[in-house]
Amino acid sequence: MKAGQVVIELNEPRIVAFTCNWCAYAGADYAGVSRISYPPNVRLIRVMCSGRVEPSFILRALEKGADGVMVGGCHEADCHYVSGNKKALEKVEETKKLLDLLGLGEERVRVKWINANEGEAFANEIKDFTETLKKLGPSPISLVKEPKEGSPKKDLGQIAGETDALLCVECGKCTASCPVSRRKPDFSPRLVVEELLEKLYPQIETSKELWDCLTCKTCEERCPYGVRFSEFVKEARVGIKELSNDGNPTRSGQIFSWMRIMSQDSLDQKRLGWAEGLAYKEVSSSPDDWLFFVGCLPHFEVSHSPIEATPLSIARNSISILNKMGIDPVLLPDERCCGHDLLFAGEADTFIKLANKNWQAFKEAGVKHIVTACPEGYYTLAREYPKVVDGWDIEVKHITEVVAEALDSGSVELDGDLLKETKVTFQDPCRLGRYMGIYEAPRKLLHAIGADLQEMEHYGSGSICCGVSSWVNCGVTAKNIQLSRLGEAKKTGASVLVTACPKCQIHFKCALHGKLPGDKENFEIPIEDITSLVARALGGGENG
Amino acid sequence: MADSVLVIGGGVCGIQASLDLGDRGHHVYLVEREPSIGGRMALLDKVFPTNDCSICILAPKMITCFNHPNIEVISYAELEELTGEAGNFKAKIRKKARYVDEDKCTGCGSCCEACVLEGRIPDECNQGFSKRSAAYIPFMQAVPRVATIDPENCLYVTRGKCKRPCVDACQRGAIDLEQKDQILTLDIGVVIVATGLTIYDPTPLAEYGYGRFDNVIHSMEYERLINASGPTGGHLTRRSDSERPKRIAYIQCVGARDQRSGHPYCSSVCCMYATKDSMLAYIHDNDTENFIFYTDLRAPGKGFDEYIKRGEEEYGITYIRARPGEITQDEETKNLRVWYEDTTSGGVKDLEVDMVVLSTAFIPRQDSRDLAKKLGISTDEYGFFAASDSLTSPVDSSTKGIFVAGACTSPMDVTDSVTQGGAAAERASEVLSMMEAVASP
Repeated sequence: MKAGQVVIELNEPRIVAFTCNWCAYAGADYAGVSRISYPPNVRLIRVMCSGRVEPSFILRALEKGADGVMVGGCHEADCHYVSGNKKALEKVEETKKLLDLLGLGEERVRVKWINANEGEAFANEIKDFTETLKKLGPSPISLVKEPKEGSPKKDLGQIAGETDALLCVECGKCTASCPVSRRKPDFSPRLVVEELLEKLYPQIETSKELWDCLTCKTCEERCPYGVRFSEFVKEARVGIKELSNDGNPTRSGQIFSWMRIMSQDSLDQKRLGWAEGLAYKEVSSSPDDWLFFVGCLPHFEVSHSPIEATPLSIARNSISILNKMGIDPVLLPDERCCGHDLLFAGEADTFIKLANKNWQAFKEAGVKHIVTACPEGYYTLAREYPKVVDGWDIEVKHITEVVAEALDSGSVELDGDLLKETKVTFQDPCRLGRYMGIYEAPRKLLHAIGADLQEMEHYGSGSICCGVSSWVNCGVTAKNIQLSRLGEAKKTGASVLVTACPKCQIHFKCALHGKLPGDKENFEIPIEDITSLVARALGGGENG
Repeated sequence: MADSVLVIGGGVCGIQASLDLGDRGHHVYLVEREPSIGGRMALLDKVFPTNDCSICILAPKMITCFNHPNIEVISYAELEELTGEAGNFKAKIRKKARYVDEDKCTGCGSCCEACVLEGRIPDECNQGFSKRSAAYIPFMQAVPRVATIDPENCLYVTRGKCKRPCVDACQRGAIDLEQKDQILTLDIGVVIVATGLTIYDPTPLAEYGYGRFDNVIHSMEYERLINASGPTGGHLTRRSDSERPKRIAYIQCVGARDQRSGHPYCSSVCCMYATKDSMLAYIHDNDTENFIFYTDLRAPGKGFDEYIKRGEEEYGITYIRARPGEITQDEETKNLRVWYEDTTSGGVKDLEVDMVVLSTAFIPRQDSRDLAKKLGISTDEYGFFAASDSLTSPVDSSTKGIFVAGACTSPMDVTDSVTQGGAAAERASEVLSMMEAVASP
């Protein structure tokens, strides 16, 4: 153990119980006034309704050291808000799936309906839960707090220098190019840089606007002086987050919680259930083997099921494509989150932990080539990992590149009639396009399957972001961007909007799932990932 | 030793240098790549800050130059090779076949009218706005005023198949389709390089839509459209519908002061010519509204600031400090919307206009490095010819006996080009005299 480390030792399980004001909390109270004894392992948190308990609450409790979480509410049909307990049940079921994926086990969370006069039932439940948790053993989440060896936070002046912000001539081309600024006048990249130049650092650190940036790189693409604003935002958020200036995380932070949990040492993850029936291996047998980096697709499948997004089909279709190309990819049973979203949300230290865990796993699996269907994972592995791990020597590619290269060499043939004379349009993902410079590969594939590609008003390097990045600040501006983008897609006359990034798909489907303006026929367009089309053109795959 | 001077490039700078040297009694070979001398200035409508007619100033100089007893204009020719050293250069010049006997041709234009390709080939001088024949005279005031048959398009030259109506049309029998390139070997004492510049093609800056939107043009195209001898007879019109634009936006620093496209330097004349262009549009029709989007208004020179002030006060030009981020097009009207951040008051704004003119960067000619290699002189990091010392000897190249002048050394306006042409002539004459003095004491 390193000097200065603090270990909180506690042999007893710790339970956090979210109890509703009207029934479960009153039941616990009744147990108290009735002098019914129960294990002291539980901490109660009163909520007005069990329906208020988000998966993020449960994950946060576990992340912070709870061994189990209980959600207590009114009996069925007794809910004081009609159906809150039903919602609680759905949310707990969602959480259980996530816990299974993460290897914490679904037994660590449970729901119990307890009436205001059921003191005995409450006590028994706590007794039973305590026993169950004792049998399960302590949560694998370690509370060892490592002293920070120098915060990854950099001085804003230093970041300004490194990102060429000092070259700015304040022409405003960035702001005039920014999809956010056009819809939210408070946000101006130029003014942020101006504050930097004038050393008004506190103004930047406390400005909520910095979370509005999509890090989509449109401004960088156009800045005459090459100011790397997205990079500046990424670096500055580290310090800003330390000041507790937060960026409204999506789904109240559950995504960040599971990502942080994945940086733990020993997790018994069960993340490959989706790959049943597909040909893959868990260890590389030759230096030519490809590892398919799955990323958070299984987790997104759970967290975004309410909007009918199907990220896992992207994973399955990718494997199907690789199989048809004669490749049985390596899938890692203990792969971790790539860390992209935490990195861009100011949690650089957790990102570094995740990167090194994955790097170890890649080395142990003996792979030299990685393919992924997620442009964010692609960028992070290819560009950010080499900065934070020692000796990175792995080639990384996006699935569209791998297939496009195979098309060029003639080693694979796609069904050229699949979308014959079908108009499609394509959303360039920021990370694939502006970050990695890949514009041609996906277009080549669409062409090869016979599609009639109709470009949107903004495409290629001028493409507009899907509205949200790194799961922060999803709000009215994001929605406006998404709708105008869907409007552009619809205007092309295409019958499908093809995406090449799971997150683009999620964000557009989310926009379509929500309330649409009256003229919704101007926005509604089917969305399909490019892997689904390619897999079908190879005689396999599923819709997604 | 040879006492002739080779001037490469027949723009205003090369013409001035040739005239100054010729007047001093030196023999000058003026080699011009194009069919006519005159260069870029011959294509401009007016020049700032006086708004004088450009060709009216230049044409007399072109004629004087051509008829000067000491100046031999070799047009439609290029330098192949330069060997030797100061005082004893040998220049190999390729005089390209123009398929017309220069001595016989009177420039009547009958061959141009007779050509079967009449109105089929984009006219370079008019920036492609009009079409010419394979036999052509580049512009009305061309010097020498003789026809040229374009070997890239002429059916007879390229395929050997044509009824050759040009031959029949020419009353002087000047057409010679069997003409071959000629190599001239000249004995040269000193060389002046005045090859000028070219402009940046703004197509890669996709956000401005050049090449995608009909009514986004660059400043050289604008010069031809507003020019009385241009493709529209001086009626400024839009490409989309031939209507007169009533609201025009000019975007400065397109590809200039831009590290991304590799030209971080200022083109130095655009603030002035955009103002001039705006004034011209206003003078043509005084209900035209002009908007100039600038990064920094650069008007360094006597009377220049006043010129801009006049633009604002008398011609109603609106100057907006912003570099626009994007131009979008209305599908129906083909009007354009310029998106910009108002950097004085803040906030993203948009301005609807009928036409956008991009003030694109002045850049070195694409083959400037090749020419530098042939000449054995050095270039700067961008490809402009470098002076041996830009402060103390601004027209001396890195090689003795070779001088560089005009916009091939740096972006500059007409006045500066003429000044440099004169300076180079002075230096050339000085070096020649010194060498003569040494050779025959």
